[in-house]
Amino acid sequence: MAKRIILNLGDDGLDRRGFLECMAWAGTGLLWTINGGIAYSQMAHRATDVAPGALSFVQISDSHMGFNKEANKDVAATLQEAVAKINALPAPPLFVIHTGDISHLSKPSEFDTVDQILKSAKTSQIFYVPGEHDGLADNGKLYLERYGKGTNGLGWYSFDQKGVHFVGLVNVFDLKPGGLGLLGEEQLRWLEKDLAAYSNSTPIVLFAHIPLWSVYPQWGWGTDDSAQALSYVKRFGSVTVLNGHIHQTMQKIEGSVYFHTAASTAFPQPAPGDGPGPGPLTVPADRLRSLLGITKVNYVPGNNALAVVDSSLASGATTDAGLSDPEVRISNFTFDPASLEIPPRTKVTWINHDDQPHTVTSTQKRFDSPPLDTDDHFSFTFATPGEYAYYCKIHPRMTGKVVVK
Amino acid sequence: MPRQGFLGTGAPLSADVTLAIEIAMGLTLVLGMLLARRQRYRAHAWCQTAVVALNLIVIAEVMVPSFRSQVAPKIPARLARSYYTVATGHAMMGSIAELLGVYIMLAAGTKILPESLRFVRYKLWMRIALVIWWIALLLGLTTYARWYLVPKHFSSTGSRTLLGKLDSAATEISDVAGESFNLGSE
Repeated sequence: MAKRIILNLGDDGLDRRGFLECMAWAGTGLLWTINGGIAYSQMAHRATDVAPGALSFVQISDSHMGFNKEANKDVAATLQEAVAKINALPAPPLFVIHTGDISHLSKPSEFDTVDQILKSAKTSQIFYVPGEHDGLADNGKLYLERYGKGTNGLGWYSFDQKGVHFVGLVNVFDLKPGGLGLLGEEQLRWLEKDLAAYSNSTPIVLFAHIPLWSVYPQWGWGTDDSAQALSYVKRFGSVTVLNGHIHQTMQKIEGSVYFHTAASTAFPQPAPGDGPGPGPLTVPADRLRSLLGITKVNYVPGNNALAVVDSSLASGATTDAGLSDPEVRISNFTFDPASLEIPPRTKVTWINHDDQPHTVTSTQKRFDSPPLDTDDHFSFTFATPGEYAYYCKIHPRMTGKVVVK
Repeated sequence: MPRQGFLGTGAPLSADVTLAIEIAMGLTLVLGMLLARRQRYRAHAWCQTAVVALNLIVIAEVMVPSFRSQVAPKIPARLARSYYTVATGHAMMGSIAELLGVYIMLAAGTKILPESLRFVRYKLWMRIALVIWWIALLLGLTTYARWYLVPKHFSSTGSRTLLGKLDSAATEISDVAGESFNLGSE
Protein backbone atom coordinates (compact mmCIF):
# COMPACT_ATOMS: atom_id res chain seq x y z
CA MET A 1 0.00 0.00 0.00
CA ALA A 2 2.76 2.43 0.92
CA LYS A 3 4.09 2.61 -2.60
CA ARG A 4 0.66 3.65 -3.84
CA ILE A 5 0.67 6.73 -1.63
CA ILE A 6 2.23 9.53 -3.63
CA LEU A 7 0.92 12.67 -1.99
CA ASN A 8 -0.71 12.41 1.41
CA LEU A 9 -2.72 15.52 2.16
CA GLY A 10 -4.61 14.20 5.17
CA ASP A 11 -3.95 12.04 8.19
CA ASP A 12 -5.44 8.95 6.64
CA GLY A 13 -2.29 7.85 4.86
CA LEU A 14 -3.97 7.98 1.50
CA ASP A 15 -3.74 10.44 -1.34
CA ARG A 16 -6.29 10.69 -4.10
CA ARG A 17 -4.43 8.48 -6.52
CA GLY A 18 -3.84 5.88 -3.88
CA PHE A 19 -7.52 6.01 -2.98
CA LEU A 20 -8.55 5.58 -6.61
CA GLU A 21 -6.28 2.59 -6.98
CA CYS A 22 -7.63 0.99 -3.82
CA MET A 23 -11.18 1.73 -4.95
CA ALA A 24 -10.42 0.15 -8.29
CA TRP A 25 -9.29 -3.02 -6.58
CA ALA A 26 -12.22 -3.06 -4.18
CA GLY A 27 -14.67 -2.46 -6.99
CA THR A 28 -13.38 -5.35 -9.03
CA GLY A 29 -13.06 -8.10 -6.48
CA LEU A 30 -15.58 -10.15 -8.43
CA LEU A 31 -13.38 -10.03 -11.47
CA TRP A 32 -10.54 -11.48 -9.46
CA THR A 33 -12.72 -14.25 -8.17
CA ILE A 34 -13.68 -15.14 -11.73
CA ASN A 35 -10.14 -14.82 -12.98
CA GLY A 36 -8.40 -16.38 -10.02
CA GLY A 37 -5.15 -18.01 -10.96
CA ILE A 38 -3.94 -15.33 -13.32
CA ALA A 39 -0.47 -14.50 -12.06
CA TYR A 40 0.72 -10.94 -11.61
CA SER A 41 2.59 -10.16 -14.78
CA GLN A 42 5.47 -7.77 -15.21
CA MET A 43 6.22 -6.36 -18.62
CA ALA A 44 8.55 -8.62 -20.53
CA HIS A 45 11.29 -6.08 -20.91
CA ARG A 46 11.12 -4.46 -17.54
CA ALA A 47 14.62 -3.97 -16.25
CA THR A 48 14.95 -5.69 -12.91
CA ASP A 49 17.78 -6.64 -10.65
CA VAL A 50 18.55 -10.28 -10.17
CA ALA A 51 16.62 -11.47 -7.14
CA PRO A 52 17.85 -14.38 -5.02
CA GLY A 53 16.84 -17.64 -6.67
CA ALA A 54 16.19 -15.93 -9.97
CA LEU A 55 17.31 -17.25 -13.30
CA SER A 56 19.71 -15.04 -15.23
CA PHE A 57 21.20 -15.85 -18.60
CA VAL A 58 22.84 -13.98 -21.45
CA GLN A 59 22.22 -14.09 -25.18
CA ILE A 60 25.01 -13.34 -27.64
CA SER A 61 24.65 -13.56 -31.38
CA ASP A 62 26.29 -13.29 -34.78
CA SER A 63 29.98 -13.50 -33.83
CA HIS A 64 30.88 -14.05 -37.52
CA MET A 65 34.35 -15.24 -36.58
CA GLY A 66 36.56 -14.98 -39.66
CA PHE A 67 34.93 -11.81 -40.98
CA ASN A 68 37.64 -9.19 -41.61
CA LYS A 69 36.14 -6.48 -43.82
CA GLU A 70 35.86 -2.72 -43.26
CA ALA A 71 32.79 -2.95 -40.99
CA ASN A 72 34.92 -4.65 -38.31
CA LYS A 73 38.41 -5.93 -39.02
CA ASP A 74 38.78 -7.58 -35.63
CA VAL A 75 35.64 -9.54 -34.71
CA ALA A 76 37.65 -11.63 -32.24
CA ALA A 77 38.38 -8.49 -30.22
CA THR A 78 34.73 -7.43 -30.06
CA LEU A 79 33.70 -10.97 -29.06
CA GLN A 80 36.28 -10.82 -26.27
CA GLU A 81 34.78 -7.50 -25.17
CA ALA A 82 31.35 -9.14 -25.10
CA VAL A 83 32.77 -11.90 -22.88
CA ALA A 84 34.36 -9.27 -20.64
CA LYS A 85 30.97 -7.63 -20.35
CA ILE A 86 29.40 -10.95 -19.33
CA ASN A 87 32.15 -11.49 -16.77
CA ALA A 88 31.57 -8.02 -15.33
CA LEU A 89 27.89 -8.65 -14.59
CA PRO A 90 27.06 -8.37 -10.86
CA ALA A 91 26.12 -12.07 -10.80
CA PRO A 92 27.40 -14.61 -13.33
CA PRO A 93 24.69 -15.83 -15.70
CA LEU A 94 23.58 -19.42 -15.27
CA PHE A 95 24.26 -20.02 -18.95
CA VAL A 96 24.82 -18.28 -22.26
CA ILE A 97 22.76 -18.76 -25.42
CA HIS A 98 24.45 -18.12 -28.76
CA THR A 99 21.81 -17.55 -31.43
CA GLY A 100 23.91 -18.44 -34.45
CA ASP A 101 26.38 -17.28 -37.06
CA ILE A 102 29.14 -18.35 -34.72
CA SER A 103 31.48 -18.43 -37.70
CA HIS A 104 31.50 -16.45 -40.94
CA LEU A 105 32.40 -19.26 -43.35
CA SER A 106 31.91 -22.36 -41.14
CA LYS A 107 35.62 -23.16 -41.11
CA PRO A 108 36.98 -25.33 -38.27
CA SER A 109 39.50 -22.63 -37.32
CA GLU A 110 36.69 -20.08 -36.92
CA PHE A 111 34.73 -22.37 -34.61
CA ASP A 112 37.96 -23.08 -32.70
CA THR A 113 38.57 -19.37 -32.12
CA VAL A 114 35.04 -18.78 -30.81
CA ASP A 115 35.28 -21.81 -28.52
CA GLN A 116 38.58 -20.53 -27.20
CA ILE A 117 37.21 -17.04 -26.47
CA LEU A 118 33.98 -18.30 -24.91
CA LYS A 119 35.94 -20.60 -22.58
CA SER A 120 36.81 -17.52 -20.55
CA ALA A 121 33.13 -16.62 -20.00
CA LYS A 122 32.14 -17.00 -16.36
CA THR A 123 29.16 -19.29 -16.87
CA SER A 124 28.49 -22.97 -16.51
CA GLN A 125 27.17 -23.78 -19.96
CA ILE A 126 26.72 -22.38 -23.46
CA PHE A 127 23.80 -23.39 -25.67
CA TYR A 128 23.92 -22.87 -29.43
CA VAL A 129 21.63 -22.77 -32.41
CA PRO A 130 23.12 -22.46 -35.89
CA GLY A 131 23.01 -19.48 -38.22
CA GLU A 132 23.09 -19.84 -41.99
CA HIS A 133 26.80 -18.94 -41.98
CA ASP A 134 27.50 -21.97 -39.77
CA GLY A 135 26.42 -24.28 -42.56
CA LEU A 136 27.80 -22.50 -45.62
CA ALA A 137 30.51 -25.06 -46.39
CA ASP A 138 28.83 -28.34 -45.47
CA ASN A 139 25.16 -27.62 -44.75
CA GLY A 140 25.76 -27.77 -41.02
CA LYS A 141 27.71 -31.05 -40.73
CA LEU A 142 30.63 -29.57 -38.82
CA TYR A 143 28.30 -27.47 -36.65
CA LEU A 144 26.30 -30.56 -35.67
CA GLU A 145 29.48 -32.52 -34.88
CA ARG A 146 30.64 -29.77 -32.54
CA TYR A 147 27.46 -28.45 -30.99
CA GLY A 148 24.70 -30.89 -31.92
CA LYS A 149 25.30 -33.76 -29.49
CA GLY A 150 22.04 -34.91 -27.93
CA THR A 151 19.91 -32.75 -30.19
CA ASN A 152 17.16 -33.77 -32.57
CA GLY A 153 17.07 -33.64 -36.37
CA LEU A 154 19.24 -30.78 -37.62
CA GLY A 155 20.06 -29.58 -34.13
CA TRP A 156 16.84 -28.58 -32.38
CA TYR A 157 16.40 -29.35 -28.70
CA SER A 158 14.79 -28.21 -25.47
CA PHE A 159 15.69 -28.01 -21.79
CA ASP A 160 14.27 -26.73 -18.50
CA GLN A 161 15.86 -24.29 -16.06
CA LYS A 162 14.20 -23.07 -12.85
CA GLY A 163 10.70 -23.64 -14.12
CA VAL A 164 11.31 -22.06 -17.52
CA HIS A 165 11.13 -24.23 -20.65
CA PHE A 166 13.72 -23.35 -23.31
CA VAL A 167 13.45 -24.48 -26.92
CA GLY A 168 16.31 -24.07 -29.42
CA LEU A 169 15.02 -24.10 -33.00
CA VAL A 170 16.85 -24.38 -36.32
CA ASN A 171 15.57 -22.33 -39.26
CA VAL A 172 18.65 -21.84 -41.42
CA PHE A 173 19.38 -25.05 -43.32
CA ASP A 174 16.65 -24.91 -45.94
CA LEU A 175 16.24 -21.21 -46.67
CA LYS A 176 13.30 -20.15 -48.82
CA PRO A 177 13.80 -17.94 -51.90
CA GLY A 178 14.69 -14.45 -50.71
CA GLY A 179 16.44 -15.86 -47.65
CA LEU A 180 13.43 -16.48 -45.41
CA GLY A 181 14.07 -19.07 -42.71
CA LEU A 182 12.25 -22.38 -42.58
CA LEU A 183 11.58 -24.68 -39.64
CA GLY A 184 10.12 -27.54 -41.65
CA GLU A 185 7.42 -30.11 -40.98
CA GLU A 186 9.57 -32.51 -38.95
CA GLN A 187 10.72 -29.81 -36.52
CA LEU A 188 7.22 -28.36 -36.20
CA ARG A 189 5.81 -31.78 -35.33
CA TRP A 190 8.54 -32.21 -32.73
CA LEU A 191 7.84 -28.73 -31.30
CA GLU A 192 4.12 -29.40 -30.93
CA LYS A 193 4.86 -32.65 -29.11
CA ASP A 194 7.58 -31.07 -26.95
CA LEU A 195 5.30 -28.26 -25.72
CA ALA A 196 2.29 -30.52 -25.14
CA ALA A 197 3.65 -31.68 -21.78
CA TYR A 198 3.78 -28.17 -20.28
CA SER A 199 1.04 -26.25 -18.52
CA ASN A 200 -0.14 -22.87 -19.79
CA SER A 201 1.55 -21.13 -16.87
CA THR A 202 5.06 -22.36 -17.75
CA PRO A 203 7.21 -19.51 -19.09
CA ILE A 204 8.49 -20.47 -22.54
CA VAL A 205 11.63 -19.20 -24.26
CA LEU A 206 12.06 -19.96 -27.97
CA PHE A 207 15.38 -19.12 -29.54
CA ALA A 208 16.50 -19.42 -33.14
CA HIS A 209 18.80 -17.55 -35.50
CA ILE A 210 16.44 -15.97 -38.03
CA PRO A 211 13.59 -13.97 -36.45
CA LEU A 212 10.37 -15.91 -35.92
CA TRP A 213 8.44 -12.74 -36.77
CA SER A 214 8.33 -10.83 -40.01
CA VAL A 215 10.88 -8.09 -39.40
CA TYR A 216 11.42 -7.38 -43.11
CA PRO A 217 10.62 -10.36 -45.34
CA GLN A 218 11.92 -8.54 -48.45
CA TRP A 219 15.41 -9.01 -46.98
CA GLY A 220 14.74 -12.51 -45.72
CA TRP A 221 14.30 -11.24 -42.17
CA GLY A 222 11.57 -13.62 -41.13
CA THR A 223 10.70 -17.31 -41.06
CA ASP A 224 8.32 -18.71 -43.64
CA ASP A 225 6.49 -21.16 -41.39
CA SER A 226 6.87 -19.38 -38.05
CA ALA A 227 3.11 -18.80 -37.77
CA GLN A 228 2.59 -22.50 -37.19
CA ALA A 229 5.27 -22.63 -34.53
CA LEU A 230 3.76 -19.60 -32.79
CA SER A 231 0.30 -21.18 -32.86
CA TYR A 232 1.68 -23.88 -30.54
CA VAL A 233 2.74 -21.31 -27.92
CA LYS A 234 -0.42 -19.18 -28.08
CA ARG A 235 -1.91 -20.87 -25.02
CA PHE A 236 1.06 -20.00 -22.76
CA GLY A 237 0.87 -16.94 -20.53
CA SER A 238 4.48 -15.86 -21.09
CA VAL A 239 6.48 -16.52 -24.23
CA THR A 240 9.83 -14.90 -25.04
CA VAL A 241 11.26 -15.31 -28.53
CA LEU A 242 14.98 -14.54 -28.90
CA ASN A 243 16.62 -14.23 -32.31
CA GLY A 244 19.71 -12.81 -33.99
CA HIS A 245 20.51 -12.54 -37.73
CA ILE A 246 19.57 -8.89 -38.27
CA HIS A 247 22.45 -7.51 -36.13
CA GLN A 248 20.34 -4.94 -34.30
CA THR A 249 17.99 -4.91 -31.37
CA MET A 250 14.31 -4.83 -32.17
CA GLN A 251 11.28 -5.88 -30.21
CA LYS A 252 7.61 -6.48 -30.69
CA ILE A 253 4.79 -7.72 -28.48
CA GLU A 254 1.87 -9.79 -29.70
CA GLY A 255 -0.47 -10.78 -26.90
CA SER A 256 1.64 -12.72 -24.43
CA VAL A 257 4.50 -13.24 -26.89
CA TYR A 258 7.51 -10.94 -26.65
CA PHE A 259 9.82 -10.98 -29.66
CA HIS A 260 13.36 -9.69 -29.36
CA THR A 261 16.33 -9.66 -31.71
CA ALA A 262 19.85 -9.20 -30.35
CA ALA A 263 22.72 -7.06 -31.57
CA SER A 264 25.70 -8.79 -33.14
CA THR A 265 29.12 -8.96 -31.50
CA ALA A 266 30.74 -8.45 -34.93
CA PHE A 267 29.18 -5.73 -37.09
CA PRO A 268 25.89 -3.85 -37.50
CA GLN A 269 23.46 -4.09 -40.41
CA PRO A 270 21.22 -1.35 -41.82
CA ALA A 271 17.77 -0.68 -40.43
CA PRO A 272 15.07 -2.68 -42.25
CA GLY A 273 14.52 -1.22 -45.73
CA ASP A 274 17.26 1.36 -45.35
CA GLY A 275 19.43 0.89 -48.44
CA PRO A 276 19.60 -1.65 -51.21
CA GLY A 277 19.78 -4.71 -48.98
CA PRO A 278 21.17 -6.36 -45.86
CA GLY A 279 24.90 -6.68 -45.25
CA PRO A 280 27.75 -5.41 -43.09
CA LEU A 281 27.31 -1.72 -42.32
CA THR A 282 30.42 0.40 -41.93
CA VAL A 283 30.05 3.08 -39.27
CA PRO A 284 32.64 5.47 -37.79
CA ALA A 285 35.02 3.54 -35.54
CA ASP A 286 33.91 5.48 -32.44
CA ARG A 287 30.29 4.41 -33.03
CA LEU A 288 30.88 0.71 -33.77
CA ARG A 289 30.75 -0.54 -30.20
CA SER A 290 27.52 1.28 -29.46
CA LEU A 291 25.87 -0.88 -32.16
CA LEU A 292 27.29 -4.20 -30.90
CA GLY A 293 26.32 -5.86 -27.66
CA ILE A 294 24.85 -8.62 -25.56
CA THR A 295 21.39 -9.30 -24.15
CA LYS A 296 20.79 -10.20 -20.51
CA VAL A 297 17.60 -12.03 -19.54
CA ASN A 298 16.29 -12.39 -15.99
CA TYR A 299 13.44 -14.48 -14.67
CA VAL A 300 12.14 -14.22 -11.13
CA PRO A 301 10.11 -17.29 -10.08
CA GLY A 302 6.52 -16.22 -9.46
CA ASN A 303 6.64 -13.48 -12.04
CA ASN A 304 5.02 -14.41 -15.28
CA ALA A 305 7.38 -12.77 -17.73
CA LEU A 306 11.08 -12.48 -18.35
CA ALA A 307 13.02 -9.23 -18.26
CA VAL A 308 15.11 -8.71 -21.39
CA VAL A 309 17.81 -6.04 -21.22
CA ASP A 310 20.18 -5.07 -24.02
CA SER A 311 23.63 -3.78 -23.29
CA SER A 312 25.95 -2.31 -25.90
CA LEU A 313 29.70 -2.90 -25.84
CA ALA A 314 30.15 0.86 -25.50
CA SER A 315 28.20 1.13 -22.26
CA GLY A 316 29.73 0.69 -18.82
CA ALA A 317 30.68 -2.84 -17.90
CA THR A 318 28.02 -3.40 -15.31
CA THR A 319 25.28 -1.15 -16.56
CA ASP A 320 22.13 -2.00 -18.43
CA ALA A 321 21.21 -1.50 -22.01
CA GLY A 322 21.27 1.58 -24.07
CA LEU A 323 23.24 3.88 -21.84
CA SER A 324 25.31 4.95 -24.80
CA ASP A 325 22.13 5.59 -26.75
CA PRO A 326 19.94 8.56 -25.91
CA GLU A 327 16.99 7.86 -23.71
CA VAL A 328 13.71 9.76 -23.43
CA ARG A 329 11.95 9.48 -20.09
CA ILE A 330 8.17 9.43 -20.10
CA SER A 331 7.24 10.91 -16.78
CA ASN A 332 4.41 13.07 -15.42
CA PHE A 333 2.69 12.97 -18.81
CA THR A 334 5.69 14.52 -20.60
CA PHE A 335 8.50 13.35 -22.83
CA ASP A 336 11.81 14.36 -21.29
CA PRO A 337 13.65 15.77 -23.17
CA ALA A 338 10.82 16.96 -25.38
CA SER A 339 13.28 17.75 -28.14
CA LEU A 340 16.30 15.59 -28.86
CA GLU A 341 19.08 16.17 -31.40
CA ILE A 342 21.02 13.12 -32.60
CA PRO A 343 23.29 12.00 -35.44
CA PRO A 344 21.94 9.56 -38.07
CA ARG A 345 21.76 5.84 -37.22
CA THR A 346 21.20 6.52 -33.56
CA LYS A 347 18.83 4.39 -31.55
CA VAL A 348 16.56 6.31 -29.21
CA THR A 349 14.86 4.50 -26.35
CA TRP A 350 11.74 5.75 -24.59
CA ILE A 351 11.04 4.41 -21.10
CA ASN A 352 7.67 4.92 -19.43
CA HIS A 353 8.06 5.89 -15.76
CA ASP A 354 4.39 6.85 -15.33
CA ASP A 355 1.86 4.46 -13.89
CA GLN A 356 -0.40 5.09 -16.87
CA PRO A 357 0.18 3.53 -20.29
CA HIS A 358 1.54 5.76 -23.05
CA THR A 359 2.44 5.32 -26.70
CA VAL A 360 5.23 6.81 -28.78
CA THR A 361 3.63 7.50 -32.14
CA SER A 362 5.15 9.32 -35.09
CA THR A 363 2.97 12.04 -36.61
CA GLN A 364 4.43 11.00 -39.99
CA LYS A 365 3.61 7.32 -39.29
CA ARG A 366 7.31 6.33 -39.21
CA PHE A 367 7.00 4.44 -35.91
CA ASP A 368 4.27 3.52 -33.46
CA SER A 369 4.82 1.75 -30.17
CA PRO A 370 2.23 -0.46 -28.51
CA PRO A 371 0.83 0.98 -25.27
CA LEU A 372 3.80 0.98 -22.88
CA ASP A 373 3.06 0.01 -19.30
CA THR A 374 5.13 1.22 -16.35
CA ASP A 375 8.86 0.61 -16.97
CA ASP A 376 8.26 -0.68 -20.50
CA HIS A 377 10.54 0.67 -23.15
CA PHE A 378 10.40 1.22 -26.89
CA SER A 379 13.34 1.85 -29.23
CA PHE A 380 13.62 3.19 -32.74
CA THR A 381 16.73 3.73 -34.83
CA PHE A 382 16.69 6.97 -36.80
CA ALA A 383 18.54 6.24 -40.03
CA THR A 384 18.20 9.42 -42.06
CA PRO A 385 18.37 13.15 -41.25
CA GLY A 386 15.12 15.00 -40.66
CA GLU A 387 12.72 16.18 -37.99
CA TYR A 388 10.54 13.50 -36.47
CA ALA A 389 7.60 14.72 -34.41
CA TYR A 390 5.77 12.26 -32.21
CA TYR A 391 2.99 12.15 -29.61
CA CYS A 392 1.09 9.81 -27.28
CA LYS A 393 -2.08 8.42 -28.87
CA ILE A 394 -3.75 8.01 -25.49
CA HIS A 395 -2.78 11.47 -24.23
CA PRO A 396 -2.39 13.70 -27.32
CA ARG A 397 -1.32 16.61 -25.12
CA MET A 398 2.04 14.83 -24.82
CA THR A 399 4.31 15.69 -27.76
CA GLY A 400 8.00 15.53 -28.56
CA LYS A 401 10.41 15.57 -31.47
CA VAL A 402 13.70 14.03 -32.55
CA VAL A 403 15.95 16.04 -34.83
CA VAL A 404 18.41 13.91 -36.81
CA LYS A 405 21.35 15.97 -38.14
CA MET B 1 -3.11 13.17 -34.53
CA PRO B 2 -6.18 13.16 -32.24
CA ARG B 3 -7.43 16.50 -30.89
CA GLN B 4 -6.93 17.36 -27.23
CA GLY B 5 -9.89 17.27 -24.89
CA PHE B 6 -11.57 20.29 -23.31
CA LEU B 7 -11.44 19.22 -19.66
CA GLY B 8 -7.77 20.06 -19.15
CA THR B 9 -6.69 16.46 -18.49
CA GLY B 10 -4.47 14.34 -20.69
CA ALA B 11 -7.47 12.89 -22.53
CA PRO B 12 -8.23 13.24 -26.23
CA LEU B 13 -11.38 15.10 -27.29
CA SER B 14 -13.27 11.87 -27.96
CA ALA B 15 -12.79 10.72 -24.35
CA ASP B 16 -13.95 14.07 -22.90
CA VAL B 17 -17.01 14.16 -25.14
CA THR B 18 -17.84 10.57 -24.23
CA LEU B 19 -17.47 11.33 -20.52
CA ALA B 20 -19.81 14.31 -20.78
CA ILE B 21 -22.36 12.33 -22.81
CA GLU B 22 -22.27 9.37 -20.40
CA ILE B 23 -22.78 11.56 -17.32
CA ALA B 24 -25.66 13.33 -19.09
CA MET B 25 -27.20 9.99 -20.04
CA GLY B 26 -26.91 8.69 -16.49
CA LEU B 27 -28.71 11.75 -15.17
CA THR B 28 -31.33 11.48 -17.93
CA LEU B 29 -32.08 7.89 -16.88
CA VAL B 30 -32.70 9.10 -13.34
CA LEU B 31 -34.98 11.80 -14.74
CA GLY B 32 -36.80 9.08 -16.70
CA MET B 33 -37.23 7.07 -13.52
CA LEU B 34 -38.83 10.11 -11.85
CA LEU B 35 -41.20 10.43 -14.81
CA ALA B 36 -42.34 6.84 -14.23
CA ARG B 37 -42.91 7.53 -10.54
CA ARG B 38 -45.21 10.40 -11.61
CA GLN B 39 -46.99 7.93 -13.91
CA ARG B 40 -45.97 9.75 -17.08
CA TYR B 41 -45.19 6.44 -18.76
CA ARG B 42 -45.06 7.60 -22.41
CA ALA B 43 -42.49 10.32 -21.60
CA HIS B 44 -40.61 7.76 -19.45
CA ALA B 45 -40.49 5.28 -22.36
CA TRP B 46 -39.19 7.88 -24.83
CA CYS B 47 -36.59 9.16 -22.38
CA GLN B 48 -35.11 5.76 -21.49
CA THR B 49 -35.28 4.47 -25.08
CA ALA B 50 -33.40 7.50 -26.39
CA VAL B 51 -30.62 6.97 -23.83
CA VAL B 52 -30.26 3.25 -24.56
CA ALA B 53 -30.14 3.91 -28.33
CA LEU B 54 -27.67 6.79 -28.02
CA ASN B 55 -25.46 4.71 -25.75
CA LEU B 56 -25.39 1.95 -28.34
CA ILE B 57 -23.92 4.43 -30.83
CA VAL B 58 -21.32 5.70 -28.33
CA ILE B 59 -20.30 2.12 -27.50
CA ALA B 60 -19.92 1.15 -31.16
CA GLU B 61 -18.19 4.33 -32.29
CA VAL B 62 -15.90 5.18 -29.37
CA MET B 63 -15.71 2.58 -26.62
CA VAL B 64 -15.31 -0.67 -28.56
CA PRO B 65 -12.50 0.64 -30.84
CA SER B 66 -10.71 2.16 -27.85
CA PHE B 67 -11.04 -1.05 -25.82
CA ARG B 68 -9.84 -3.19 -28.72
CA SER B 69 -6.71 -1.12 -29.34
CA GLN B 70 -5.68 -0.17 -25.81
CA VAL B 71 -7.01 -2.81 -23.43
CA ALA B 72 -7.86 -6.09 -25.19
CA PRO B 73 -4.26 -6.87 -26.28
CA LYS B 74 -3.13 -6.63 -22.64
CA ILE B 75 -5.65 -8.98 -21.09
CA PRO B 76 -5.58 -11.45 -19.48
CA ALA B 77 -1.78 -11.15 -19.12
CA ARG B 78 -1.80 -7.73 -17.43
CA LEU B 79 -5.23 -7.68 -15.86
CA ALA B 80 -3.45 -7.26 -12.55
CA ARG B 81 -2.60 -3.66 -13.43
CA SER B 82 -5.32 -1.37 -12.19
CA TYR B 83 -5.74 0.65 -15.36
CA TYR B 84 -6.63 -2.52 -17.25
CA THR B 85 -8.71 -3.90 -14.38
CA VAL B 86 -11.01 -0.88 -14.12
CA ALA B 87 -11.36 -0.59 -17.89
CA THR B 88 -12.27 -4.27 -18.17
CA GLY B 89 -14.70 -4.02 -15.24
CA HIS B 90 -16.31 -0.98 -16.86
CA ALA B 91 -16.58 -2.82 -20.18
CA MET B 92 -18.21 -5.85 -18.55
CA MET B 93 -20.73 -3.89 -16.47
CA GLY B 94 -21.43 -1.53 -19.35
CA SER B 95 -22.13 -4.43 -21.72
CA ILE B 96 -24.51 -6.03 -19.22
CA ALA B 97 -26.31 -2.71 -18.63
CA GLU B 98 -26.68 -1.97 -22.35
CA LEU B 99 -27.87 -5.49 -23.19
CA LEU B 100 -30.38 -5.38 -20.37
CA GLY B 101 -31.50 -1.92 -21.53
CA VAL B 102 -32.03 -3.13 -25.09
CA TYR B 103 -33.94 -6.17 -23.81
CA ILE B 104 -36.24 -4.02 -21.65
CA MET B 105 -36.75 -1.64 -24.56
CA LEU B 106 -37.78 -4.53 -26.83
CA ALA B 107 -39.82 -6.41 -24.23
CA ALA B 108 -41.70 -3.45 -22.77
CA GLY B 109 -41.97 -1.14 -25.77
CA THR B 110 -42.43 -3.45 -28.77
CA LYS B 111 -43.98 -6.76 -29.73
CA ILE B 112 -40.86 -8.02 -31.49
CA LEU B 113 -40.10 -10.63 -28.83
CA PRO B 114 -42.43 -13.63 -28.44
CA GLU B 115 -44.55 -13.44 -25.31
CA SER B 116 -42.72 -16.28 -23.64
CA LEU B 117 -39.50 -14.23 -23.74
CA ARG B 118 -40.99 -11.09 -22.26
CA PHE B 119 -40.72 -10.43 -18.53
CA VAL B 120 -43.67 -9.65 -16.36
CA ARG B 121 -42.11 -7.82 -13.42
CA TYR B 122 -41.26 -4.62 -15.29
CA LYS B 123 -40.40 -2.51 -12.25
CA LEU B 124 -37.89 -4.93 -10.78
CA TRP B 125 -35.96 -5.41 -14.02
CA MET B 126 -35.94 -1.70 -14.81
CA ARG B 127 -34.56 -0.91 -11.37
CA ILE B 128 -31.90 -3.60 -11.69
CA ALA B 129 -30.91 -2.17 -15.09
CA LEU B 130 -30.67 1.34 -13.65
CA VAL B 131 -28.44 0.19 -10.79
CA ILE B 132 -26.13 -1.74 -13.12
CA TRP B 133 -26.02 1.26 -15.46
CA TRP B 134 -24.85 3.51 -12.64
CA ILE B 135 -22.25 1.01 -11.48
CA ALA B 136 -20.93 0.94 -15.05
CA LEU B 137 -20.92 4.73 -15.09
CA LEU B 138 -18.98 4.86 -11.82
CA LEU B 139 -16.43 2.43 -13.21
CA GLY B 140 -16.29 4.58 -16.34
CA LEU B 141 -15.46 7.63 -14.23
CA THR B 142 -12.82 5.63 -12.39
CA THR B 143 -11.38 4.48 -15.72
CA TYR B 144 -11.23 8.06 -16.98
CA ALA B 145 -9.51 9.20 -13.79
CA ARG B 146 -7.03 6.32 -13.88
CA TRP B 147 -6.10 6.80 -17.54
CA TYR B 148 -6.16 10.53 -18.07
CA LEU B 149 -5.67 12.49 -14.86
CA VAL B 150 -2.25 14.06 -14.63
CA PRO B 151 -0.55 13.48 -11.26
CA LYS B 152 -1.39 16.21 -8.75
CA HIS B 153 2.14 17.48 -8.26
CA PHE B 154 2.33 18.15 -11.98
CA SER B 155 -1.22 19.10 -12.91
CA SER B 156 -2.20 22.53 -14.15
CA THR B 157 -4.85 24.63 -12.43
CA GLY B 158 -7.34 23.28 -14.95
CA SER B 159 -6.59 19.71 -13.98
CA ARG B 160 -6.90 20.50 -10.26
CA THR B 161 -10.28 22.09 -10.90
CA LEU B 162 -11.33 18.99 -12.77
CA LEU B 163 -10.18 16.75 -9.92
CA GLY B 164 -12.48 18.68 -7.62
CA LYS B 165 -15.32 18.42 -10.11
CA LEU B 166 -14.83 14.68 -10.46
CA ASP B 167 -14.76 14.22 -6.69
CA SER B 168 -18.07 16.10 -6.40
CA ALA B 169 -19.53 14.15 -9.30
CA ALA B 170 -18.46 10.86 -7.70
CA THR B 171 -20.19 11.88 -4.45
CA GLU B 172 -23.39 12.77 -6.31
CA ILE B 173 -23.26 9.52 -8.24
CA SER B 174 -22.85 7.52 -5.02
CA ASP B 175 -25.89 9.29 -3.59
CA VAL B 176 -27.97 8.52 -6.66
CA ALA B 177 -26.80 4.91 -6.73
CA GLY B 178 -27.77 4.59 -3.08
CA GLU B 179 -31.20 5.96 -3.90
CA SER B 180 -31.58 3.44 -6.68
CA PHE B 181 -30.73 0.57 -4.35
CA ASN B 182 -33.33 1.82 -1.88
CA LEU B 183 -35.94 1.99 -4.62
CA GLY B 184 -35.07 -1.52 -5.75
CA SER B 185 -35.65 -2.93 -2.30
CA GLU B 186 -38.98 -1.29 -1.68
